[in-house]
Amino acid sequence: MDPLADSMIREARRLFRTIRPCGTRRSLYDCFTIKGDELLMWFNTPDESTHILRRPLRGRDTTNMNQCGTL
Amino acid sequence: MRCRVVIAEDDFFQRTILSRYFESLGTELVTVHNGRSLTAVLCGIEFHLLVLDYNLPGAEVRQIFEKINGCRQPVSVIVITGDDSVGAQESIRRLSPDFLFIKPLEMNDFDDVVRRVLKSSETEYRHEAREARWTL
Repeated sequence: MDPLADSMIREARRLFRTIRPCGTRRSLYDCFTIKGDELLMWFNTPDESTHILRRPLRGRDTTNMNQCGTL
Repeated sequence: MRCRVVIAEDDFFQRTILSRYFESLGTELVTVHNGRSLTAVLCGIEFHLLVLDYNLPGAEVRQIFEKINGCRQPVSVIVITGDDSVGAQESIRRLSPDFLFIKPLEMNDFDDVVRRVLKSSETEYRHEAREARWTL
């Protein structure tokens, strides 16, 4: 798995303790999108509230990452 | 008059992303982060499109839809939610929003819908303005 994605999942767990994939996604690794030069992680907390964590990509190879358009 | 869009989303990043997107389309924007602010906005201004987070804190979504249905001008509603439970989906569908999107937003689909909605809003506004001129 991508180290940046791994670190974002760890960070989200540290901040919110219990997190789960957002919407219809079944894995947290399916919850990443790219916006410009940032990687976004979408996840839900137990109250069904959706949150985003953002990290700069800084020239990473994004060919294997989910790209859901550029907002 | 430019299309006026209300974004009701409590998460700062999602609100920012949506704001930047709608600004890039040249719309006039109002953003709110809770149900109380949204109610105040619905009572105070005219707008063409509401982008509503279904889990907006402090929002009674049914009442929001009642207010919108009572608006003088036609308003489109796009509901976005990260809750894919059957219960939530059924509740949302009963409210009959114009469009429903599940997070993470698939931006190409979202963009298509938004452009369609804004185009029809502009057409309706021009139509209303023409009718108003004729009735003067």
